[in-house]
Amino acid sequence: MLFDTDGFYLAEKKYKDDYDFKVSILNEPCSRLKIYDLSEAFKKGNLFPSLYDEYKCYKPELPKCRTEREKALLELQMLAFSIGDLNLYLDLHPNDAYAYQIFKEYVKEFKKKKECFTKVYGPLTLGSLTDDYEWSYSPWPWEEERL
Amino acid sequence: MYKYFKSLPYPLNIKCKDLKMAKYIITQFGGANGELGAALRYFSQKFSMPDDKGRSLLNDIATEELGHAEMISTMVKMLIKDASLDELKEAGLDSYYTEHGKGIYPIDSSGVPFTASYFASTGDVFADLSEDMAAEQKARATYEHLINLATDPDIIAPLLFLRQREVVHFNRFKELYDYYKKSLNCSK
Repeated sequence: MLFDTDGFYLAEKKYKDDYDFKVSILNEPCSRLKIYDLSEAFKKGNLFPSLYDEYKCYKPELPKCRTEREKALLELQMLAFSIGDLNLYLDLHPNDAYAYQIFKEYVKEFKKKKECFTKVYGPLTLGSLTDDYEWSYSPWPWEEERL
Repeated sequence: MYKYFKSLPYPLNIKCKDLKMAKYIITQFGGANGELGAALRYFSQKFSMPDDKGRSLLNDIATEELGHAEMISTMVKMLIKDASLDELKEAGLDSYYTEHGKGIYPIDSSGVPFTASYFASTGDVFADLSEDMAAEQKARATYEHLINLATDPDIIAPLLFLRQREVVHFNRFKELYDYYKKSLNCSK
């Protein structure tokens, strides 16, 4: 039980069963979960058609890439976006096996693409090792002239 | 612990300077409904969430918002980069320039600096989540006003993206709020 009889929530869980509510809105399996593909989700800023809220008549387009680096980075940004939106969904629906399956596929793909990116353009995270210490001098996100 | 990922969540390609838009957009960095306030709000509130759903959702949205704060700051930097002193004066950014030059500082569109009083952390899950839902709606409205003021598609595209994130976050917070409300009723 999360809340006591006075309505104060109990900060520490005491029993494993504390989380097994008789509430169905979050725990029911969502096998019919509908999601956009990577590029559609990214340009819309929303992975879930059921939540998409268009503003006026704006039809968002995929950002244009000026360089090969931008193109490679966009693929990572698209994957990171869908991973992030699935992450928020899974926080509330941890038992949705279908969503987690897609999440795992995207994470694997992201790791692969990130490794390829690192070899050519330098590290995106401090833990990505390259021959030299490139962390400080590969472009920072706010250095638009170097992207 | 936080680890930095050396990329923006959404690419920016702003070619034309626009000082007026810079002055408006900076409000989503340091304003009452901005990304910095959002990040700090959920970061502070995550410590009083009662279960794994609340802890993870607030932690993860706080993290996403910090990335958005960096994106907004980068937009402002791009929009003022090549500005002359006369152009800064004309756009009403001369007082900003006095204190900050062309640096980035969290203020709102009227020049009011960021303050922690833009958000609350009450230790009460319903009060906090109600605030979070309202905060996402206010941020969405602010993004719509910015989109209405903008004419450059290179500015509108990232604003549409960020606006849509507020829509998603609102729905997730509402879902969590309804869930806690139902479990409270079940425990009575």
